[in-house]
Amino acid sequence: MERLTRRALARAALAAGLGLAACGGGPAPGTSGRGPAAASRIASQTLLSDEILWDLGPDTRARVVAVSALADDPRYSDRPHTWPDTVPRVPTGSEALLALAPDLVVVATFTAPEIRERLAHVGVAQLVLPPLTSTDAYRNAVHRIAEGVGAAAAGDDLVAAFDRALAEHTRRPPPGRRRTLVAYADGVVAGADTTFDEIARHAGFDNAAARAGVTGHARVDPERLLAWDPFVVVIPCGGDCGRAKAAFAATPGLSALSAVREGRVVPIEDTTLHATGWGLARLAARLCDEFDRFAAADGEGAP
Amino acid sequence: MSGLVLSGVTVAVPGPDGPRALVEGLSLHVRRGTVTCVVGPNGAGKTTLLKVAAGLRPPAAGTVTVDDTPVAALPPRRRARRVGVLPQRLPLSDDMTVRAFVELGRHPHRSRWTGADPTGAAAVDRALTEAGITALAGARIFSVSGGEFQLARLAQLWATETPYWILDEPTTALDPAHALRIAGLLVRAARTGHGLLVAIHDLEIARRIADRVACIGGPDAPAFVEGPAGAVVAPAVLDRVYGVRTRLWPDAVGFELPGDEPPPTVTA
Amino acid sequence: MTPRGGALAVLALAAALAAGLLAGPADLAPGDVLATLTAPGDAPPLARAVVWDLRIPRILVAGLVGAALSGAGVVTQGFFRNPMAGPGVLGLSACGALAATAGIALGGDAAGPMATPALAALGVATGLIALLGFARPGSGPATLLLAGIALSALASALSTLVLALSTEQWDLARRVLAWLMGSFESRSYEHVLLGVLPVALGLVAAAGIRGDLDVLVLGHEPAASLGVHPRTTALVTVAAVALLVGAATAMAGVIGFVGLIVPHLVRLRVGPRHGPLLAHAVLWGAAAMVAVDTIARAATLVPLPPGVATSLAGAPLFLWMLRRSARGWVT
Repeated sequence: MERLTRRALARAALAAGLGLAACGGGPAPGTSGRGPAAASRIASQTLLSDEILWDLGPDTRARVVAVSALADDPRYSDRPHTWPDTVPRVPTGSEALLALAPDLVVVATFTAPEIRERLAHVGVAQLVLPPLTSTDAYRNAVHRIAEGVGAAAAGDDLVAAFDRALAEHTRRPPPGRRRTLVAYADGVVAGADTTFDEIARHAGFDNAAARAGVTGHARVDPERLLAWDPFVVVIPCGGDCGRAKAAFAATPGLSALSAVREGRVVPIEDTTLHATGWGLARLAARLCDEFDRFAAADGEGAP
Repeated sequence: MSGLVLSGVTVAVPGPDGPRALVEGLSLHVRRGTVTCVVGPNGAGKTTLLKVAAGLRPPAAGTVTVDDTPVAALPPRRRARRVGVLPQRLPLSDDMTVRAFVELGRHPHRSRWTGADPTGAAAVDRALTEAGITALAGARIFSVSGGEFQLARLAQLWATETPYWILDEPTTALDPAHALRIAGLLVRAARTGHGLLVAIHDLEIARRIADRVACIGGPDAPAFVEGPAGAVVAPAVLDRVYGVRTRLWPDAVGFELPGDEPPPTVTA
Repeated sequence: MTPRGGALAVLALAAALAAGLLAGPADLAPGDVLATLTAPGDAPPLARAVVWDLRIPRILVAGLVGAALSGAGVVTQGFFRNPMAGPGVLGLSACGALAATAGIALGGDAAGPMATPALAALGVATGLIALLGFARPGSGPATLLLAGIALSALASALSTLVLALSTEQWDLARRVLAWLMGSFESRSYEHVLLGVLPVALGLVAAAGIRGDLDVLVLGHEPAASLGVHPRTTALVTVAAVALLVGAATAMAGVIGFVGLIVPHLVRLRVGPRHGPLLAHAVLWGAAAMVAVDTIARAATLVPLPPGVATSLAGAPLFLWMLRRSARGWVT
């Protein structure tokens, strides 16, 4: 019974898709370089693919029929209100998504398996993004999406631009002179195998959590943070950087950290701190600013 | 008027058409040193009447006084130092020694904050002796027999050192030896100055221990019969109240169901 | 309290507190801890922070929570005449959790650090009153247990509903979850000060009705004939349990099974008198809570939430107690 219903739904969705495609008039002229199998109705279901699809240029943007429901949420989206209001924001795996009759849906490994199974069942092609734990994961995601939508050249350009932006914000302190740093959010630190760890090293810092053996984002006892006593502590702003800084300093025990006592607690906007895409370049720039600030302070303080 | 006095007490229970009176206008005077029994068929309201007498629920009409103080006006602990109760059922929820069980009777005498009860140990010793279960003091209460449990309950009542005792069916479900032993202890309690109000099914025991008997229930309820034991435990009263034919022997009360069927004879 | 048994309980608590002070993820030698304790002024600031700002408030909060929950368990078991009753089994913690979850969802936690704790206490009290309404004190253990299960299910369902209605708020779920798992992390002297008064009041109230609870073993009506005032005892029970569970939940979130297991095990040792029972349960409860937290903290690099640790240890113990309980307590 359920199977029958689902099949009927799938047929209806496909029929609707065909009809809409016919109305749309097929591929627009002047889109050379796109393969014959290139998707014409792309639905994005992750924040990162929302961003990448936009960055791939006007030709790709025109083929996007849906972006993720969180696309405009300033707490999570790096670029709220980028997409015109005519592109609907649809919840993951919703009926609204099927009604738009996409021929390619960008999801991620963290998308619920039953949703991916349902999409597969109605015959919609899926592009699955891997876990976003490094800049390579971002580059990889750009290439795969670009190829999937038939815009490989635009993808190469985007990655090249990202690499240039990242290269501008690199610091190479002398060996053994790296400052330690920890990103701490409500008891959770970013350890090895995180984008933060990579960018922190890129900006000339040494992630104390990764060095202590923490992998991924993990909860740690405040005592361990005290034992590491990092030179810099990075915290998320949560909308109000001043308040976040005060709240961190007021956390029992943490006021003894040298970073608190000597004013090296660095609040960073959540969307920058947790960026998985282009925002990583911005995070690198932000951390490099801090690096330069402390280096300058060192220079002044030196005898 | 000293004693436990019920004056014009009406006992009612909720019924489909509002409260239904079980007993109306009952007056009893339980003096120290005497035993008053309440008899009557099942459902006559004996247990409810006893709860009213103990001040555990208010009467529908009338008053209950203990040595001239209205029982309703007494704070619970002071009331519990005047009137002791042996309820029909005791849903004991945890095991303990017999002595600890008897000690629970000291509750109304014990100070709330310090727990002090200077005369408690002596009272418990005496209660165990009176009930004849000193040897059982260290046994677990869950492991003693039904008869021994009833003796322990009586010892607990003794330990309250209350002048007035209200007992609900103290001999029910006991073998004859234990029933008679309990009856003997009740007589002894009366002789040592306690005033007893006892609800009882066993009419033979009632006839033996009671000074006065109130017979409630039956077709005339809420009317009742109250008087000296010999006058109430008599065929003239019992035949009508219970709907049976009563025969009295010097040491037994027997009943037959009226009618033509072969009469089963019950001897109590 | 027998002098030897009491001394053992005090020793256990002292040992647990000492272990909680000496052990922890920051590698501080016992000598350093002692030096920091005796001369805080001369100690390095980090050691001082670890000992004075983290470990001492933490073990104080853990001890208070353990004492409060065990004390509440003694009162609940005594009043409901059921050695298997406890604030958790009766759904009281779920009610506290519901009130706190609703408060967090409506943004109540922004009103101040003590808003959620206060709501939790209110939820516990409301739950207990509802339970007393459904399962009257005289009714059997099965009625009580079933009413508790129903109350627990209802409160949990409502909590889930609140969460479901706000799925778009990711950090809400995170805050609620952190609270539900129970935690002694980042507890300050403010939490100790917040908890100390209600816990003390609750324990004093519990001590005040210890004799009445003793007599309740006979049943509620027989107890009334021995001078136990039914309504007053019920009210004091509600007040004591609400103060104790409310304060514990307020200080540390939901901590399961301590209020059930500790009084039950102590009862096996010291017997049914509520005076010694309360004293021993409070000491052992504090010791057990501090010990569980210390072990959870020392044994794992990832902090194990104490509520999870107590449930992991408590649920199997509870099943074992069910099995060995000779008398069927569900009749």
